Amino acid sequence: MEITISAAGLTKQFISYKKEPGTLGAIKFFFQREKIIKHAISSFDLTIRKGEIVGLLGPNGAGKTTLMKMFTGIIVPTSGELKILGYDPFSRQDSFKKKIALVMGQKSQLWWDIPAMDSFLLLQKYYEIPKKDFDARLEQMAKMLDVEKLLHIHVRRLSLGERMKLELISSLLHNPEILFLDEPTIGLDLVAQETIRDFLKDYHRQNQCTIILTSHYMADVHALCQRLVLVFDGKKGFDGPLSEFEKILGPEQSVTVQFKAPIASEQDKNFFSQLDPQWSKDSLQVDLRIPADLFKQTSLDIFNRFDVNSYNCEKMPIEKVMKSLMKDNKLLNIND
Amino acid sequence: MIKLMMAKWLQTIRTALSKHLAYRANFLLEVIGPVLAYLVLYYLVWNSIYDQYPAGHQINGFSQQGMIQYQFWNALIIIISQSYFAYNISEDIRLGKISTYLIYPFPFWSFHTCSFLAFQFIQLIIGTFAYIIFYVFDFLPFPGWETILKSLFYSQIVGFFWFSLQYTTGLIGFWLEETWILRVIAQIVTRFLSGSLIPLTFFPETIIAFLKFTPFPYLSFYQIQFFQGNFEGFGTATLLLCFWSCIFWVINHLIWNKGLRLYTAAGM
Repeated sequence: MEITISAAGLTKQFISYKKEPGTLGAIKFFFQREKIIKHAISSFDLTIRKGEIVGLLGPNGAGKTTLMKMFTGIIVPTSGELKILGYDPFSRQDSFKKKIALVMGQKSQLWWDIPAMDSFLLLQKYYEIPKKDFDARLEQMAKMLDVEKLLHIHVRRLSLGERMKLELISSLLHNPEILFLDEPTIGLDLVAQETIRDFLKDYHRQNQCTIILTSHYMADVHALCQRLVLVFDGKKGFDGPLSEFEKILGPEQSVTVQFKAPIASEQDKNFFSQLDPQWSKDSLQVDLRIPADLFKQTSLDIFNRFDVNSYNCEKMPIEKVMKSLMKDNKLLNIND
Repeated sequence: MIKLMMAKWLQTIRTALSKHLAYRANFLLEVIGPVLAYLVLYYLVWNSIYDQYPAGHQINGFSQQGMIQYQFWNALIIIISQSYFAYNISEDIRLGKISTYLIYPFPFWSFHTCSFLAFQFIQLIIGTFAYIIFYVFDFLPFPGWETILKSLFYSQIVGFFWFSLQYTTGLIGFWLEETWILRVIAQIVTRFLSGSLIPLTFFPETIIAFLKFTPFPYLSFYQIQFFQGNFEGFGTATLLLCFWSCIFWVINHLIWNKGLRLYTAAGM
């Protein structure tokens, strides 16, 4: 399949200056500045094929957004090779810009002081979209997202969820080949999050565009991404399908056991000590991680020994995997 | 190709017009407020200076009425020629807002130029109203249609130069987080050397001779002379301002390319 994004040895360094706190620090900072070089991205290799939906995951400051900025040509890499649809993004050719779109959940791209429709008409001209296509796409997307009545209202008067829907429309009017989504559901309520996810799924099914998504909401990742790329301290920690990601901590089952009476004795609690127990405050419930080969025997032992109210097991959810990795990224064996 | 480009420019100008007119109170305060304050202040200051002398006294070739007229013409050209976009540009850079423009297939310079043209259009309408008021209350004479049209043409060149200068100051935002002091210095120096605060006839001859090689005197002093019907040096002023606008255009292009390499899109 056609390669849309190809990065090899991609590196980005940022320079900042150290400042000690207080007035003395400010005076010292005025005369003498200690340079700090931050390696935001280090020797990053990545290949993404046409039509893929890839989730870029990682803790805050890991380098996800820096990657997005380099992919879209907003900032220049310090070193390494990067090709997006065969273009060098930093050369910022108009033909390249017409093939990509970026939605930033934390930054509005619509003009704040005018209705969204004015922004759309401007984008129609910028992207040279034929009027017939423009009208058809706008009508279809406005209907899908139920925002037909919001098109002529000043953007500043809209709620975050309404604005985000319009941001999505504005980025898709020109039918981009790659859509970069930087935390598109941040701050939205659950219904709005779901609407946006469903819309993106439908849009991808119809248009088969490539989507690169960053999000801290695992529900977004679970619903949309076929493949995950983990970024830790600017390095790639994992790159593979969602199913493989769920097994990162080992072939374990995630189990939640609810008891009829609180488990009070230390001896009883020690029974679970090898299973990474996470107790509820009232000791009526415990979350466990049970190795696959011990699952059957351990489950039987629990039922034999305790008065169990309910017993739920599931594959290791990605949220739990993410939490574990954020606590200890050595689990990924990232090479320095 | 040209048709497509024209469509982009026209739509951007339309959008910028909507943006400028979005907040009525803010618009009036921003556009008319400073000029009104300036005019009242200078009217009072120059009247109190001339009141110390006998009637008909001239200071550096200016009678009391001549000086008041100079200040009224000056207020008018501030409205129609001078824009202050540097703040918007440096804020766009500092807050990472130019990221949006870097993604759209329409250059950042073109976007701000369209915004400037929209602003110029509005300023021209306000300037016309202001002139009618000044004329009705006998502060300014009617210099004739030819003078008005020729001077308005020149005002657009001055306006474009002001915009180029503002654009350069704004782009310094790539290097300096706060550019306000630079903007204030640039504004005060430009106003002073252009004869906006005091007519250039108050300056020593050698300084005037030197200033003629710079764009400054052509921004206010000459422009006022043209509105008053004195077109001496019109061709030289037009050519020199076009020349300086080109110089600034090249400088802006170089600064933009250099600055973009430093741009971190902070806040995104």
